[in-house]
Amino acid sequence: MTALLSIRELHCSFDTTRGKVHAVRGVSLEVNAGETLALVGESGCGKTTLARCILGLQRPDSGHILLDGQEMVGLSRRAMRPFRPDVQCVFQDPFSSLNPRKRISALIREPLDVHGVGTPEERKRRVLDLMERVGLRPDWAERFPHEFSGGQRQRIGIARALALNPRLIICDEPVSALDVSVQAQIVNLLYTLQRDLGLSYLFITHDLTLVENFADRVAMMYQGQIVESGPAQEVWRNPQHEFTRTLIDAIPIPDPDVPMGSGRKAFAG
Amino acid sequence: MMRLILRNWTLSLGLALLALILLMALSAPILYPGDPYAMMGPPLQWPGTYPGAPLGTDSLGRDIAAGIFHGARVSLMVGFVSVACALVVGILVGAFAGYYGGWVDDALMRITELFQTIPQFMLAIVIIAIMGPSIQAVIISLGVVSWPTVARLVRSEFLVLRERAFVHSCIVIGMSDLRIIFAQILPNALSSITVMASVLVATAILMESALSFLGFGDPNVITWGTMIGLGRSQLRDAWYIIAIPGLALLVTALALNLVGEGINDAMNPRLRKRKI
Amino acid sequence: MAKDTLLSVEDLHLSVSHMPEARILRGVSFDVTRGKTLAIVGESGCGKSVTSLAVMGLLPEGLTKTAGHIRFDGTDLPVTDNEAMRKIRGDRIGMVFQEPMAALNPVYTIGNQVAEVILEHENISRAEARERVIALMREVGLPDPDHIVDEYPHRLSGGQRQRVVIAMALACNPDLLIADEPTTALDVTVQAQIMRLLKGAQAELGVAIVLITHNLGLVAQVADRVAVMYAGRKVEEAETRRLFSAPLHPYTRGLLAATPRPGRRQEGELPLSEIPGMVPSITEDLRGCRFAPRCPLASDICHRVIPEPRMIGATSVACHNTTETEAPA
Repeated sequence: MTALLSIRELHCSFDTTRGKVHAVRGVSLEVNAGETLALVGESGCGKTTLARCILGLQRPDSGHILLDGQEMVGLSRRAMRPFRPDVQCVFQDPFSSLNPRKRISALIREPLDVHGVGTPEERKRRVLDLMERVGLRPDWAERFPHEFSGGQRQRIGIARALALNPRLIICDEPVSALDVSVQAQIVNLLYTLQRDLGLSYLFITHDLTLVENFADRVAMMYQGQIVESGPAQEVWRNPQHEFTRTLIDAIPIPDPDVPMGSGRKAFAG
Repeated sequence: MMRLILRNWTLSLGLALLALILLMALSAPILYPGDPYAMMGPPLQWPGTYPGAPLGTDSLGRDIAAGIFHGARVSLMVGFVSVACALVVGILVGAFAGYYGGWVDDALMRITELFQTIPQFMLAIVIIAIMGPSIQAVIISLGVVSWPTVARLVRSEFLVLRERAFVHSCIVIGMSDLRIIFAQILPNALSSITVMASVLVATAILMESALSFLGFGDPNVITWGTMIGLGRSQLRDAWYIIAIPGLALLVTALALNLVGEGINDAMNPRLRKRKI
Repeated sequence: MAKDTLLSVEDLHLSVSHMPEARILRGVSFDVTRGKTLAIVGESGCGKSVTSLAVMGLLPEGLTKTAGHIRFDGTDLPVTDNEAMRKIRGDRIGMVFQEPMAALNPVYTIGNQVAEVILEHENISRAEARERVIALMREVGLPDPDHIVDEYPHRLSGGQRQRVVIAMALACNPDLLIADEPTTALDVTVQAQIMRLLKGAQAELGVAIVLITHNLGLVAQVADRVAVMYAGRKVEEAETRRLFSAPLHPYTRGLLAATPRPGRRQEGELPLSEIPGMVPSITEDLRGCRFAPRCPLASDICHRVIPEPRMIGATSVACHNTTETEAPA
């Protein structure tokens, strides 16, 4: 079986005002159909750059990105268009990821318009279906994004990502800007959608506890490289790399009986 | 929309003044059907002293009021048309430079800078000298000197907006670049472009007057600048010949600046929030 | 007021000045004991940050205190008297903000900025102040203190900047430190270091800490007491261990259940337990409990009558439906 998404020896660097940043240094990973791979790392580890490369927002220096065996590196934006429906994205910041001047219905319909899916009537129905699926009330269709809270905007973003029936969704810190109770709603929604639609997720996050029960496999990224990867439970219980151990230990566990700096005890439990 | 305008007194005042000037321009052929250059009474009548010409007459007995009304047509037309041309060019150049970056940006911005390094007024005079003094030449010359400002503003807006996640989201769904540029990013930059455009119109109107004053305008149409130019020899004994078109210019420039400021206030999120 | 109480906030009400129906705080009370840590937990919009700003006398323009008392060390805090508050701020109450870069001025060296705080409150020479600053830098764990005093903020990492801000807050040995989401902008590993630093400073200097956070993990690790806030009210307050082992308010329970923690989920269940619905807006005028629309236990009375805080065991809880039997012995 070939993986749905396969990344081999990817390198990516870019120029900033402080000089060249080699953000991704030879990353290889695979996402299989129907699974969730959690990509965990701290800020500046290169995880967002990696996501941008997969989405064709950033040109890698070298390496391969294979979608169902088809090479994506080197394709022009135009050449990538036919593959776009397969890979969609849910963005981190629900306040900047929706065009403030578009109505909700237009935002969710845009992907269908771009790819000419169905008749206008069918698109309209599809938008309402999608809104219902992500838990948005149909009478909100003609409102603007600024009328919604962060959690609801994230639902709009998810509906937009689902419109083209993708097989893989890149979730770039989709809940890190949300409150705990709303975060739970969105994580559960993503989980239910995966179960019902057979989606694959590349779930990028800095929060290990969040993906603990949610990811099938996990890849730990540190300074542009994958330092450890494997089945999620195994990595939590028996971390091999020094970075993974430090990270797990540093997690504050919501239990007064687990003292500061001993997160591994809680995970091993 | 209406409520927003009324709550904002700068915008209301600016729009009211602008409407007044527009009304003057539109009513000129009805109120003063004849040639504003024609002699209609004794020369050098002070305002209010000669019944046929409420604003007086100049040294050749021409009606100043007729000149002001007809001049309003020319000023507004030159101002708006030249800025419209500048907007088309400036938005195209700025949008492509800002959205694509890299060598596209470098090439387009070098050209823009080339235009900006030449003093604006000199450039305008040179273009008119080449094309011959006509209203078209004035409009084109003013458009040529105004577009670089537009291009730079649009580019800087695009540089910020293209990094917003909603633009990435459009790339990810496979939207074409042209559609992203014109249907997604541009509408978000429109408010700042409008603010700048209103100020540019004022600048263009002032510059047109300056060109006419110096005799580079179209000799067949009367403008406020021409009137000031013609009146300058009587500055000491009949200063009203200059003061009246001068006042008209001042009010027009003020109105446009007020509109610009008003739009700026209306779109400033912090000010808007305070009103809740 | 108990003798060891340092800060006492009583029935604090805050509103938006020109629209009194927008009530941000609707009667919040809590005490901070000398040398102890009180955590104020809640989600965005619950009023936890505004509470700390009110104590510091730093309420943003447009917000007014409509009722309540803030007593510090036995006397009313002159929160509206800017001059008097300036003497207290920095000297007796220090503050650490979420965004360290925003708290530092980019055009001055960090040494100058920390020294400024000391010189503001103490009559010593610049040279003496510099010595104190270098010692402070060492205490907060900044590398190479002799050189780092002359660096500008942008040359430091996020964690180092927060250490500088903590050094500024501790510069005059304050009695109280207010830390508003001090580690939210930082990585988890750096967060652990910063929290350790704060706890260390507390053990050494005996400073009381008010920790404002949304992170229940941090609360469990560093707080002595916890006050849970929801939509402008305090819904529950208890000693930390008690709050985590026997939460009484349905909101506290929901929040704890929604917080991801290791080894919780059973196969086939949803990953996290969620609280349905949304936080009411500050203008929404609910007659009863503000959590009632989202509460699984809500009954008729909850929609009609505002629940007043009452003691069940050693826990103060504002809920009609929590009974004695649910409290542990």
